[in-house]
Amino acid sequence: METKDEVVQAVVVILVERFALRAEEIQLESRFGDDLDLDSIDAIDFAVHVEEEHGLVLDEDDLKELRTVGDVVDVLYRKLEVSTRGAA
Amino acid sequence: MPTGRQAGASLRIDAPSPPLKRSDPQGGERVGWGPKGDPAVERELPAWLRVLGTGLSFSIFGLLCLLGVTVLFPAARLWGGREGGDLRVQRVIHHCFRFFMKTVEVLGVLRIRVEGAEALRGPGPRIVVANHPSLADVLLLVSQLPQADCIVKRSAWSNPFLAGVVRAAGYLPNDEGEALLEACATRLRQGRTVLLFPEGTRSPAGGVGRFRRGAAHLALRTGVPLQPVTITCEPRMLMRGVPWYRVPERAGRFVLRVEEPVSALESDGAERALAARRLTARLREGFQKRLVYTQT
Repeated sequence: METKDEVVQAVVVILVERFALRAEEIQLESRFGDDLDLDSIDAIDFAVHVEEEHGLVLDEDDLKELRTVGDVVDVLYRKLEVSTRGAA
Repeated sequence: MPTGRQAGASLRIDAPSPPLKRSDPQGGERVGWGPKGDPAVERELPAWLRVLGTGLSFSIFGLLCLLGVTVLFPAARLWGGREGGDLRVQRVIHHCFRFFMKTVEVLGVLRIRVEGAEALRGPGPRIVVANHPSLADVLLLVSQLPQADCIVKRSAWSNPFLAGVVRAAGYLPNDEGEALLEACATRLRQGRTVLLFPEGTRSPAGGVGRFRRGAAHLALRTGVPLQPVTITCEPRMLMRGVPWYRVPERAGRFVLRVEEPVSALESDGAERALAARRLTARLREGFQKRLVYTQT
């Protein structure tokens, strides 16, 4: 996972496979609660999956700030950049 | 759209309150306006008297809360005994609500029938889940539950009448996500009964709204089955958005039916996000089916 598109893809895959959402209902501007019917317990599960599958850590403070799919993609992409820069 | 509006209007006017089904698949204990009680021939108060009765009921309820907070709950806490103070307060609330609902029935404001109530008594743990058609639901349920940890809207903690009650009884505010789940699980592990409305708010007319998944998560986490209670009221009263003084054409007949418990299945899967969705869907379907059944 390197580009922003790949981050989007990864997020969509988790939402589809782990939360039984349909790919076509997921947009960058979709809100977790109102549009996708995800709750605070799902947010924790989502963070666990992201960490297990991609090694990126979303902590509680991150999760509180996130409202839309786009927000998650941005945060994850930022974390990804930091971690790859750190590795280089 | 004129056609749609017409259909809606005729539905509301023409639908005479359909008689409620009297069969009881569980063959359980039935309390209340009885199998032979034909609502059409029962004594019925004129509407203005029922408005008066409803107003009086609200006043009595306010006074009961006040009496509870100032005298009854502190006394229950001081009484001693082995069980915790909040459990004794919950028992006092149960008796108060029982008395209150009897009073409201005597005033002719509404009538109550309970089917299968014995499943709500005896040792827990149990997770009682109900649909939420009216303002009276929590009173009706707690009047049947000698012990119940209720999950209540956060706003009750700042309501002058309810704040003292929810605090003394150790009820749980509904806005805490994971922390709330864990608090409920702890109480279930102590063999207690947790009461919640999966819709999180009052039901839309004649059906059920979107279900939150907290109840399913709780069942999955603790292995305690969900105990559904279907609440119907015919004609409807004390609904969301309807002022309390607008009473129906006759006193509402409330029926509480304790249903077969719903458990998590192995086929729900091990992953909790998906399992909670499947269990919630089954729970909601059950409510939908029974509500259609009782209304036709």
